[in-house]
Amino acid sequence: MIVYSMGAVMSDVQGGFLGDPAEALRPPTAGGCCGSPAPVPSEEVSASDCCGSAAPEQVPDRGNCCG
Amino acid sequence: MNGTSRRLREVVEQLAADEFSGRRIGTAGGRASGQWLAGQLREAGATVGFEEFEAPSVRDVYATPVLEWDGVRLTHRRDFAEHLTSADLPQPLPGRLATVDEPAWTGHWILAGPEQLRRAADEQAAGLLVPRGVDEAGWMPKMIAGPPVGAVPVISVRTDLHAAMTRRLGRVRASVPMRSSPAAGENVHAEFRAPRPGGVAVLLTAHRDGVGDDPDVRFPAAADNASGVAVVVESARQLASTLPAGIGLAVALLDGEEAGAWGSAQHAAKVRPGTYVINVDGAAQLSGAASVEAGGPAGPLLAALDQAGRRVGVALRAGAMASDNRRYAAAGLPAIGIGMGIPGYQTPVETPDRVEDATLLAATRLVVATVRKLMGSQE
Repeated sequence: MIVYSMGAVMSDVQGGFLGDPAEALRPPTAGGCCGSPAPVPSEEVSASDCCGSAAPEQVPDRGNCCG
Repeated sequence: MNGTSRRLREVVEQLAADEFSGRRIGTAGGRASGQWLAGQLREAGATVGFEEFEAPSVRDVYATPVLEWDGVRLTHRRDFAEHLTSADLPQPLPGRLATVDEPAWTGHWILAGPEQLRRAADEQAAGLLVPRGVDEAGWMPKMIAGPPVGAVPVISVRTDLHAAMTRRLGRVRASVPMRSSPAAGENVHAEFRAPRPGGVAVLLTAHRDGVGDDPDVRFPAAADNASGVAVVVESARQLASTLPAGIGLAVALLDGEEAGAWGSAQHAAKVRPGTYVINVDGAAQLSGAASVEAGGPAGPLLAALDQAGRRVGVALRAGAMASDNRRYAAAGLPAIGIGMGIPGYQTPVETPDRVEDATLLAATRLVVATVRKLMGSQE
């Protein structure tokens, strides 16, 4: 049995969202990026750790990929 | 293995092959992989085109970095790695190790955090050694986009090793051969079906680039994101022959995501308003539930995805997907990003054998069912 942070119990769910689909519009920032499992522990400057993401100052006015 | 699984597997293995050298933006291997994918899309019945753009700043490790501690050579990406703020240091530079308590830093390698960059530059330190963790297999994943390049060499050192260096000090000899330069990218676009005027359109996207091979080590990028590309191409192939007339279906295989999502930044502004965007980034090892992030007016898309997940038996949960979907959402489009696992994330062991056939199939079924549900709700 795997319990997720949203409170749903995996073994009880066949498919679909474990909770309100609208939560996907406000996803938790923890829990990995680009579909990766746990983020790699790192002491890098923060923006460099998010896959495929440029630092905010590199993408003015475009909406930073790191959110 | 059925035809669908064979096609999915072929795309993953071909994109991860030596000849494409990890598919970093602006490289010969990256361009060649785009040409190969264009052929696959034409074969599937699409009209294919290319969109060129420039990524302004991409890191390139052009020789294997060196770090020796008291004469012992350490292992790149296991013990240490280039830090993305590092200045280019082509040849090994010797120096004494020192901590931040050292009164004068000139000529020393300083054991500190990256917040000491300015002092290190002002005092002409040889460079900084900063602590960094590793993944569960002991690798430091490779990145090619990040904060601006600084004025001094910076090396990330495995946390426990950094602590040992701080206790024992001694001498190091180190190089960081890394450039930052613009790179030419190329998105591959495929139109399978044009929408009728005012009709509904769906765009399936996946980034086709990787972080690229190191000079001496391969980075196959099989999961991130050959797996997503395979799912998108196969999903489009299946949908093209079955969607009702007048519904638009297009695919964008994007370049430059690893360098800062530049391909989608280029493309997003050109997409017809109202187009539904489904981005797949990682479809290699589903563990529990797929991660989903939505942006823009994505309500109908989320509802369709939820129904599709129930239909095909894929559990979904809200999770951060820092990928091209954010560029489309930022442009006002209904966009979702789906992630179903990246084993070996941006390390040499991100190999095709770790991409599960069952996950590729599940992701394809999920995408196909989502589009069908969405179109059913729009008719």
